[in-house]
Amino acid sequence: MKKLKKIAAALVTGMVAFAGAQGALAEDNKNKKEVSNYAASLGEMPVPMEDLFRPVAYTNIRISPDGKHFAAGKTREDGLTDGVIIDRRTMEIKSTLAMDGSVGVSAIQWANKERVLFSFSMKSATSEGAGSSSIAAMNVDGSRKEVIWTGTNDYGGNESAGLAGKIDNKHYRVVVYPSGSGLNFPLQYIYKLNIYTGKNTRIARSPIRLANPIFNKDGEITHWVGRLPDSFDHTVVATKKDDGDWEEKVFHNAKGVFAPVAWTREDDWMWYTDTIEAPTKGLYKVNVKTGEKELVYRHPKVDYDKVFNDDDGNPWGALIQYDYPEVVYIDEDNHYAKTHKRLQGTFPNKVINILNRTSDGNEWVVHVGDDRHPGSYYVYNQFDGALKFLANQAEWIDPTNIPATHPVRFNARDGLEINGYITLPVNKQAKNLPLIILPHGGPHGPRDYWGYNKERVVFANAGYAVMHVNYRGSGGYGREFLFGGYGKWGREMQDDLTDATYWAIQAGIADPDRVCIYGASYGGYAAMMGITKEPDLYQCGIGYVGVYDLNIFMTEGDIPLREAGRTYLKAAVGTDAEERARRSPAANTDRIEAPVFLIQGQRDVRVHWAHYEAMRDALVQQEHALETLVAPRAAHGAREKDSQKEIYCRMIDFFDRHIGDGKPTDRPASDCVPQGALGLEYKYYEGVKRG
Amino acid sequence: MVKSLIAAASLFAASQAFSLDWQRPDCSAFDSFSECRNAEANDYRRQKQQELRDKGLSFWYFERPDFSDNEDVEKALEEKVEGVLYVAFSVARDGSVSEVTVRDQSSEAVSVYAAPILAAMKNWQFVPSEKSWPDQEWRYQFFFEPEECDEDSQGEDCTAESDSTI
Repeated sequence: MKKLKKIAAALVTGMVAFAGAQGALAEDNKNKKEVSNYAASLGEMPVPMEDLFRPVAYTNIRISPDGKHFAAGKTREDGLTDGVIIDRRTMEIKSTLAMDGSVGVSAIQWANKERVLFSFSMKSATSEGAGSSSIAAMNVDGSRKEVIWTGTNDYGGNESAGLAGKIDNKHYRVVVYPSGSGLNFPLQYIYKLNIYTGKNTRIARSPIRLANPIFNKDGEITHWVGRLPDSFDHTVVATKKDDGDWEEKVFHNAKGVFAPVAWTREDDWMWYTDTIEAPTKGLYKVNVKTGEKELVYRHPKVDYDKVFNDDDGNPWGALIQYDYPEVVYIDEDNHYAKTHKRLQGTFPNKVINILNRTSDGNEWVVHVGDDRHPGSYYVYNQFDGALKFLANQAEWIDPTNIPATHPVRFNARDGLEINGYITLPVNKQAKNLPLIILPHGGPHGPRDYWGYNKERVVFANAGYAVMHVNYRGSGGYGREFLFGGYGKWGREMQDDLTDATYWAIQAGIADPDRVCIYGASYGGYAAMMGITKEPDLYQCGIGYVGVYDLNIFMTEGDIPLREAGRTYLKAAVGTDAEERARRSPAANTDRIEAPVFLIQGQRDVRVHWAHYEAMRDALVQQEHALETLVAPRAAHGAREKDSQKEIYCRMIDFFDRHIGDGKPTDRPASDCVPQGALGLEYKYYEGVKRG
Repeated sequence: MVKSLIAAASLFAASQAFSLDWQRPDCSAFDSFSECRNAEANDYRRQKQQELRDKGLSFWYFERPDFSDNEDVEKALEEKVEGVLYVAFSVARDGSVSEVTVRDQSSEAVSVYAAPILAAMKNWQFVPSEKSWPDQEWRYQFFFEPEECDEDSQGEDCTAESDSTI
């Protein structure tokens, strides 16, 4: 009874589920803060840096089919995530699944009312972060804890796999891309996995490369949608013929694709995605017998990011992210659409994600988040329309102290519409602020979105306006926008960032004398190219695992290992070596005025170490104001918390000295290595002119 | 004919004060019996939960009765024992449920379903509130698809139809 009283109090105060555990964590953290001086020299911030790097308390909460339990990922004090089963009535943890050597739970599925499947990312043996993934299972009472997937005997094990649909109460499909597939894209293999014994049997192999299967209602594969062996930019649709053979149709993505997505519940009808009729993705309903097709939804400016289906596979909504994320209701009368609309009414200006439901459809778990908080979980009861709080992913974060993010839109010098997001520090007027231009990596395909983004929050929390720019070549704005960036590295793609900077200055938000540019991967290239091409515009630049020499890019790293990669590189950065050199920061360091900070993972195979060496050595030769930071175990970006904390501390310190309250001649911070960490290899180059 | 008789009986029952002369719900408006049974159960639960919520009692955890692994219940289900049970319960300030008892029943036979219902209801949990809530009530109905009537049928529905045929 005493225990129940405690839970009851928690229910009232809204800390329903995990009041006890979270309370213990919070207290422990407080004690830690008292002995840690990490980042103290950076000055007081609205939210302590430590709090922004704390992993969320709970992830992947899912309700059981019978509504009696929740499964969740629960973060331990050491930052790893265990899988737990929570008794619905008492909200106490009933059983725990901890995996040695894992980074943590990355996905959870209820296989049936008694058994839960957990996808775990395993720690890489060679570098920071995750290597392959495993699948483990546990019964609700904690019995039959088993790792049911670590790879196949067919290929020697350690093949990562993803759960891809339930076959029956004992079997799931898993999709596998075997390692060691040679220099072409791999074929996909599908296994039938017994979730109690781990026994697996191969049931299908894709006829085309890097393919995804489409199943009909009888569980047979009727189509595969994949790629050509040697191209990133072609889509292949393989359709099963009556004789069992496959008919292949190839589309060039730049010209448009018409590809199946899934079968509808009606015979002969399928959902298709189309970019032929218009540059942005359209969702069509197509009769495969008659060829009749009907446009269900298309946004004129952006691709739909996701289509939401009900339990019968009928789409009821599409996620559109033109500026703020928005769910467009395709079928207003659909029960899901009505419920989502009701929830959206309860949480205006938030992003609502319906995660799963009980098998009778009565109770729903939803996640609610926005740009100022990672989010919270709720249970929605369709009978009384009540929405009950379940868990706060980061109760230590007060959203009012978190910088808000706003969509922005401007026209580039050639008139092309460019979208982006600006994040503004709290308690400061949006006027004459120091600005960090932050281009995303990729560059072709990814884009930035509105929402909680730790990186921009960390910088804005330190007092900087942060601008993400979806420059041409980014994904999400249709095929013309995407392919319009090919061959434009260092040219129009770079000019979009320059124009974004001028937009922020002309809008009065940015102080023209206090602007830096920072990015990772392609963003690192754009940052260094920015200070090369516009030496008067930026007061400093940071390149993180960046591409600095386009000729090195043609031969080093893992992209040119495959024919598809070589084809892509020619299209993206050109075939003329001299022109590539003209567009390479490392070959043009004599033009750079701004101080530079280079950060590199020593085990990066995507952007080879040679880029870092070329850029570093060229700057050293110029006796340029330079700082470097090397993460010895990091690959294409540091993944471990201590490495990240040091990197962001040193970046803020660098910004502070060049566009913040400090001076370029100030000594760098000496308190960026977290307590207990070994520290990365930081070098401050002496004997150069600063300031 | 059966449908119209049931409909008439339902109207009659609805116009009376509370009585345990229980009548199977009218399913004539539904395409299938299972649809009717689901709608009846859902409508009652929706209406009841909203009613409770309006007065300040909100469910945290609703448990369905588990009728499996109980020979008597399984036999009753097989024999299609129909009727209604009214169950009384109290909710403490902490949201826990106690004093779960059968208040009324349409027949002795239908009480065979009581044990799993009482066990499930004892596990219900409400959101805590400022006061306790004694003497609440929940209804469970049991009704099955009527058998198709033929010359040999001896079921209640078939008898009713033959009785009403002049």
